[in-house]
Amino acid sequence: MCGGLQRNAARSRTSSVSSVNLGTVHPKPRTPQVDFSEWVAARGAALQRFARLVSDQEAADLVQEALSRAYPRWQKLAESGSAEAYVRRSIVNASVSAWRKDRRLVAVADPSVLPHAVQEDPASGLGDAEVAWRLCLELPPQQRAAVVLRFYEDLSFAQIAETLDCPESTARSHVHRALSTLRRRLDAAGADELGGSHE
Amino acid sequence: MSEDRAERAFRDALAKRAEETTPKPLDVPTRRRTPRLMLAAAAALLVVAGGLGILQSMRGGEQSQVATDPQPHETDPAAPAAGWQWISWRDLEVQVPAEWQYAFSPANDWCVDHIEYPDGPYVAFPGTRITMMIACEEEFTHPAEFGPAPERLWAPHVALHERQFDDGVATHGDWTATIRTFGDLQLTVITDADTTPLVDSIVESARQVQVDHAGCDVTSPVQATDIQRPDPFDLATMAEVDQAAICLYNRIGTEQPGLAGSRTLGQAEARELLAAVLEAPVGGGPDEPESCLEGSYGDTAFVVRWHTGEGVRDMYAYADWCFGNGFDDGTNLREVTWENCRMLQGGAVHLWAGAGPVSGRCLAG
Repeated sequence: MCGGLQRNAARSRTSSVSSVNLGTVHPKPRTPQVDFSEWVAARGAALQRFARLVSDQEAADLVQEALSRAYPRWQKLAESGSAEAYVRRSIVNASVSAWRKDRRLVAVADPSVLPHAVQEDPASGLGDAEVAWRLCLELPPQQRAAVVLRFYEDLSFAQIAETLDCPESTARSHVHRALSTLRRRLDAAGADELGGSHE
Repeated sequence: MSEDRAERAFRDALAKRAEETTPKPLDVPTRRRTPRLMLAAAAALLVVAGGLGILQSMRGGEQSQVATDPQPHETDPAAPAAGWQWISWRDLEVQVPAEWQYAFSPANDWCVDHIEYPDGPYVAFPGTRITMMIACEEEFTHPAEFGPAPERLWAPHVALHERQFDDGVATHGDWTATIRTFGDLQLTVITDADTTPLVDSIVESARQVQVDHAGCDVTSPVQATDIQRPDPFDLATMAEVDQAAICLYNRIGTEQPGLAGSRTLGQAEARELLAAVLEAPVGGGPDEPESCLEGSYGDTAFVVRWHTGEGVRDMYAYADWCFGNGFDDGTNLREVTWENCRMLQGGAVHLWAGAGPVSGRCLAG
């Protein structure tokens, strides 16, 4: 049962966690929960921006889910200094999962009766940043995350590999392929501008 | 075109979108949920285990990948009550009547003529099969908990799934939908007048585990997106096999339980599978890397947990994508064949999607 019945998902997730009443937390001894609350307060906004960049899903929901997974492991994550990488990886994995679910849909309608999509030049008439963002939206989620970690978070390839749980060579490949594609599109856009309109 | 221009374009684009994002207040998780319900389930299980006095012995506890994380329950490998069976998905397992077999629930494409749905009680395969993007239009008045199909296609069943609804009970005529949340997952029990008396027994048996009833860790290294290799041993010289657990995982990363299905092979079946794997050529495959979609990888991976007189050995198997396929004991990679792949599957364990030539040997249905 339940295939496709997801309209209550966000509500259920939101109601699954409760806020911390900081007034009831004793200052000594310090507990992992206090540290976690402080960390969420400090990093929550940045993590939502990251989630917004790597996924088309609701950023707050993605971060909330990642925090729910991080909390039981918080003491270890805090001690190892890997909390940020863990939560980012959870966000990316959730994005990957959603993407993989979506791609399983198989269209069976007769394509001949569908209106034909107009294949536009992806770079036509757009600024460089807009061309780059449109490319981001087309990338598979792990590659998109690698681009975000490189050019928004300014991480090294080793750090990107750690965050994405992949070899460093894969992280490099993700970024370089995206750059190559963007260069081609920007070059094409530049040629179009020099050569005038297609029409 | 200089590299600087492309890099600058990415930086400008991402900075602009980040600035446009308005962060929302976040709740801070305080603990795992539904503690009272879990205590009730634990108490019920103690009664079941005590009454039967039976404990299964096929656990590879020392190999658990999540042993160091706090979990709601330690694993109590109690046998199911007489006439019942355990079913599991990810870290949730529950008892259902033994005669309830796996089947797919009607999905959004329920109106397609050639799809047959169960007409008796069943266990819903987690997730959905590949569905057709068609609009089955019909006006319904039933609650959403009963699914997208009309009442004429309903049958009593149990489903384990990600959170979709609020906990509670919904009714429609003689039908009842009971929803309970356990951690990140939910149990849904759909019953008619004849099966509604079973609801309490089903719901009270539910529990979260680190190792499921078949002896499968709910979280495994094979959930990683990269190909993993097991601790090496030699399948050809392994001690006599007593039984085996087949554990199927979704490759969703290793931060969360990914067990998609499990089943147990008795001694005879386990030895047949072992023979079929050993008969396959060393070298792995079949692969077709030239057909791979850039940036994509397979959805699933198996762990075959061999129980031998000398302990437990884990073999990994990949069998749904255009590269990396094979049975791996850490020493040799053997080819996936029609025979050995079919022997992996049954009950809750099936491959429903895949790519490349291995799909012709492995896909169910």
